Amino acid sequence: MTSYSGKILRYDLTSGSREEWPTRQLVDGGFVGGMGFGVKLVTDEVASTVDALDPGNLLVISTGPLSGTYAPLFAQTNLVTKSPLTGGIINSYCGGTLAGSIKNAGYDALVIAGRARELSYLVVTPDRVELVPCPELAGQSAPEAEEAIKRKEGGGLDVMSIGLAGENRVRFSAVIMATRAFGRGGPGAVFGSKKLKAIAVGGHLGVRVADVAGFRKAARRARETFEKEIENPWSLLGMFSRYGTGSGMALINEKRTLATRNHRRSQFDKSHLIDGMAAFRRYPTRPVACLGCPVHCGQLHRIDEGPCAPWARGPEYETMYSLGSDCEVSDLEAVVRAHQLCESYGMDTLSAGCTVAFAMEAAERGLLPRDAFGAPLEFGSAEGMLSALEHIARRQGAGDLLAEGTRRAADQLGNDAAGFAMNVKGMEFAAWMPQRMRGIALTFATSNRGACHKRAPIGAELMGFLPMEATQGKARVVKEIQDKVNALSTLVACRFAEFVLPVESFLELIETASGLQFDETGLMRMGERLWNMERMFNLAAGIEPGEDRLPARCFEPLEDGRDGDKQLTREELQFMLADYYRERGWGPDGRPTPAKLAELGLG
Amino acid sequence: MPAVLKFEPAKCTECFTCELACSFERDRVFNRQRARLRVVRAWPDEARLVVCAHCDDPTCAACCPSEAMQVVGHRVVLDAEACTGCGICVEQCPHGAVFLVAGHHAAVKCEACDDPECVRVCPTRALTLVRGGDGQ
Repeated sequence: MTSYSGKILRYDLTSGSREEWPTRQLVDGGFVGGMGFGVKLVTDEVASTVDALDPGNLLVISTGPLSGTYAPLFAQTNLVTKSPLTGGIINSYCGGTLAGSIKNAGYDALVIAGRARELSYLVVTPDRVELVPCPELAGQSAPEAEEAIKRKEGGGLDVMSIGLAGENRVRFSAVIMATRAFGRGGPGAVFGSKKLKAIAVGGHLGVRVADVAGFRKAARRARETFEKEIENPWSLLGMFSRYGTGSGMALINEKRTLATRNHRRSQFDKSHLIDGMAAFRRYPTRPVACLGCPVHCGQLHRIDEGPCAPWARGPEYETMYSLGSDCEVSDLEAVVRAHQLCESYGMDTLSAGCTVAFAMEAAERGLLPRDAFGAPLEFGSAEGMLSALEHIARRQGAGDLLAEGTRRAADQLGNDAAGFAMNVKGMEFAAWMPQRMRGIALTFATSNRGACHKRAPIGAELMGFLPMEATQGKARVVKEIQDKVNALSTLVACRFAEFVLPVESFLELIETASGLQFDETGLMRMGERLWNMERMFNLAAGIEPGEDRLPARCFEPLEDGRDGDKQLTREELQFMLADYYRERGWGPDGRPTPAKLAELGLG
Repeated sequence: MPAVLKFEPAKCTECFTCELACSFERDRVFNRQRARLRVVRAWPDEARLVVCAHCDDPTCAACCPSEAMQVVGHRVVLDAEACTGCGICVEQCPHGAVFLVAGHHAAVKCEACDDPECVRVCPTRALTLVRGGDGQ
């Protein structure tokens, strides 16, 4: 357990009391770290029926055995909580330097319970755990709050904070850390409900490893693997390292899988105006990396004039879809500005953009006034998109309804609005199109956190290793990738790590760092175990297997469909679901069987 | 001629691998606060590198009350046992390249390793070792 800090901090905002738990208990239980810690602690302590915005909900922010070291692509931090958007358990990820700072403060995970009396931030260092009231920060943007807290507490700390959206409990609000975000599922609203403006964390304790020479060698080998990969400009990571994740947009558009006009179209004829290459051409850009990462897919743009000056973090691919193609906005500056707004207010760019696209269609159908937000609420209107975001964050006018997310908004609007409210279990769609890719259809339908792209066979379908329109065999592939990504999320590895790093390399890094031995089977089993734990929690929370479905839009013909396209049918989804439940060892009703649970040690 | 560290800010991605590698090699711990060199973020500008320049006539050696800073050949070397961590050199160094570390009795600074790990790990070659004095 050398590379662990050894302790978990539990802080109760209601009573102001703190406890420290030994990490060993969780590791001995096989939970490894990251998402494993989060799922175990949340499912143990949070009643599945408790409202996500109730003080009874828990925030678990956790690291893994490689966090804080220079092992490449292990910089992310994991957050698990009950989601205000889905009502189920969610996990969310933040890049940057945060994980190292949590370990330097002496902890493997921070567990936050209760609700503070007034708006406050929590300071966590090796010799200080203190809740500091900060009514003066109310309404401040996330970056402003971060800066103010750093000024007061010293620059050596990492600060994760919420903006107005989190304070207003916008159901898809995010927690922001130096332009990185815990985006998906509404963790910002959980912070807001706890009157927690921010957590400032850091220290000098450092991370030691079990086998110095062995770890140095293993990390060097892993680094060389990535360096070799990114030297090749034709590889995905090679492209990302040069131009960011947005550089993939042209390929995705070419393959007709770029969700456009609220998922009515599969191509955006103006995607070249807003993609990563367009941003690279327009703004002086340099790559910025997460801690210890040789891939450096992050982009920092210098902007001399206009509303985005003086600089912006480059929007990621998913943001270019949600605030770009899905709203048919072709003005790059508007997409960058929208991204900045989401960062300032603290909102998930995916859900925010997807919700605006929903509102644009609702306005088209006369369910919302076109002038609800001043500027025209219509596809293609950059002003409409930007003003909608402002209104959502502030919960002004119809923004109050949209701040509830597409599922709740559609329920309010009625008139079959649910058919074009692009969410599963309340979580808005990531960029990908179930209409075109059956693996995506099944992943979106079955993911524990809703329409999640983190656990989908995207590469395999996009690059043609698996035929996009085939249904046979997709269930097994989806199950395997869900379990695998869960396993990697215990480490906490970046999603890109497994693209090139062989499993042996993961195992070698963990063993030389922590002294703990895992094997591939054991790790994957942990991934499956977590998947089942989440499923059981969600079932108890009232998310029935019938929620493994897709909105009606996914079964409608595409507006830009072509002859020979094979339209996704409900029967196909049912076939894949039955196959999937079988692969999972669940009953045909979609519930984990007692035998399966016993096999996973969850009986 | 001595070797010097050459830093090209345009190539730096602020991954801080150099800092982690430095603390790991010197102290066997990953801790950026113990790194002997610091990459300082200045968005939107490029990062700065703060590191000992191994001056010919070092202020740190002149001001040290315990003679812990020694000029050895072309290097300025800190004798951690003699250092009391008083912090005078930290104040006086014109480059700001001597650091005090919480939980550590002495100051730390770049020791000019022969085969520096900070250079070896830099993924973009923003940090290189230049021999023959052409590092400017």
